[in-house]
Amino acid sequence: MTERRGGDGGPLRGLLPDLLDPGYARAAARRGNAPAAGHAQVVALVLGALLIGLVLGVAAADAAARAPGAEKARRGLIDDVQDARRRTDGLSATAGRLAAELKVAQQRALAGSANGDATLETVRTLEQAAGAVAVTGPGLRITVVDGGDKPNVLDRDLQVLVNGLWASGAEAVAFGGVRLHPRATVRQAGGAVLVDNRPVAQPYVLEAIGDPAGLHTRLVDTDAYGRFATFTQVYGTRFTVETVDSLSLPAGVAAEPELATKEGSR
Amino acid sequence: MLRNRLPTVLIAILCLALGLGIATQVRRTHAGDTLADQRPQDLVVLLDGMQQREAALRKEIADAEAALARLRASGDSSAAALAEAQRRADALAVLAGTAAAAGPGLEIELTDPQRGVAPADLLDAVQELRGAGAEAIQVGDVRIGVDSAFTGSTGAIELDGVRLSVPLTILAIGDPPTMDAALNIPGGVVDTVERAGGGVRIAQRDRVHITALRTIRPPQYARPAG
Amino acid sequence: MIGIVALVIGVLIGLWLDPTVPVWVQPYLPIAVVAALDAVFGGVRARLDGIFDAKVFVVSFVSNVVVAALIVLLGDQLGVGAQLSTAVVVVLGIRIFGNAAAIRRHLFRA
Repeated sequence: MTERRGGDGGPLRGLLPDLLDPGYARAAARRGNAPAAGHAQVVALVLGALLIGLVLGVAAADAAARAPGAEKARRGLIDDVQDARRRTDGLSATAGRLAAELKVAQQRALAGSANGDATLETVRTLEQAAGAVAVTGPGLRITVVDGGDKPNVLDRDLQVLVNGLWASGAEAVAFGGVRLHPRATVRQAGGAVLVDNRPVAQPYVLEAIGDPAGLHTRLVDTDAYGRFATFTQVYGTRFTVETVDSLSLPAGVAAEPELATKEGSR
Repeated sequence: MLRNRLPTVLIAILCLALGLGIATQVRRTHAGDTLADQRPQDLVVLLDGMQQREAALRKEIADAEAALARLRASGDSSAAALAEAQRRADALAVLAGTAAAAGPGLEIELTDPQRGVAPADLLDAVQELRGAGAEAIQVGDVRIGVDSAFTGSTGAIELDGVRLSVPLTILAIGDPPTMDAALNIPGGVVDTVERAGGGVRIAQRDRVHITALRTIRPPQYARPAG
Repeated sequence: MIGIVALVIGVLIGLWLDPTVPVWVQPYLPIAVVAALDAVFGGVRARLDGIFDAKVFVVSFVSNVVVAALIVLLGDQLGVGAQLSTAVVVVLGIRIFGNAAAIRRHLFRA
């Protein structure tokens, strides 16, 4: 079996002829290739190994202790965020399930009575108006990619873009798969954007249901479009608008008012 | 014979694992799921948002469970169900802007003598108020809804096609101190308006009456799914 | 065998003692660690090659650390301390990989 197979160091073979400390070869030659033996050997071995072990142990202990408080706190925060994310995902599923159950139970109880049907119809209409119902239809899909190290597209710009979509006649809008409802906000946290308090990562995808051609024409006239057109030129931001035949937007989840109560005729 | 195949099989498995690893990492990086790269202050904001959402979800779950319990306790009686449906309709009407509403909140008086306030500034104000938990907002004579849009130009702002005249009164129902603080953050709404030569006077009230209503446009392109 | 035992004991003592490393030593810790790893891998390979010599083992480790530290110290004075530290780590790292490959060939051949 030749030495050729899988040579030492591979591509670096030319760099260092033999990677073993030449001291070993020379010592072996001096001994006439007899193995090294004797008390001195054992003592040296033990001392050397102890010394090396000490270095490794001290370095390890030092590295562990030196994780500065700030780094530990940051790791703690990351854990907290991940825990919170897991919890909210679970809660969101439960909330969805309960809402469906409640809807079924109400319909069962109310269907048939004139009052009941009328009220159910009112609730349905209002839910649509408040973005609380999943909808589907044609519309536009806008994709924004903010290249570069630091964010050039801020939450303000995205809010203005959403505003532009509403101004162009959109009937339902979702950002990053999160449906916008009357209490939803678009906020920024460093590199991530929080839509209705849910983190949305790049690429930013906005979906709006409406008359695709009309939406597009009116959108081009808005301040938002001009702003993002400038971004593409100045920052190299990617901004694409495409018509989509069928968009599916999920239901928005707006917290019911606690402080505001309905007033007036009833 | 297997020994001949073994290295090849191992190589194939390792390549598969490597490919999977690369794909996963690329996807994670692109999805921005690398929380590890975020700065502490960004993580704090993320965490704050998550906690708000968690609280809202818990409340929603509690409300739904209570409503279900009420329905079941009254033996699915129509009266209880009707009351529950009516309650839900009222809440949605306040959200959608089809019903007048009252509650604690802010009364904001905005002046713009030099016509320096831009539509984006009012948009920012609405977003800040929402972020601070506003449940109903009225700007001038217009009720804010999910599809409210600010258009026009600096000094001549339009909301949902209606020209807003200054001095402008903005009403918001929600927790007064929280909303007040949100408007007063450095570089926030008050700062921006004042720098444009305008003025903002915020009064916290025990009871704010929002009477402007929104008419619902029946959707022509959006259909309920499923 | 006794070498491995002594090594493990050394690591445990180091972890247990957990001395506060003075600030001026800290830049040299990485190179000391890499030199230590290099000595260990080199020693194991020499053992498998049948030419292990404990004196060479100790001397090579100590001299590697001292020489590397001097290089980095000189670099610090010239303003390229971090880069030279990286270079030392890279070179020793290459040696570690080379010796590890040789060890691997020994093991799989045997």
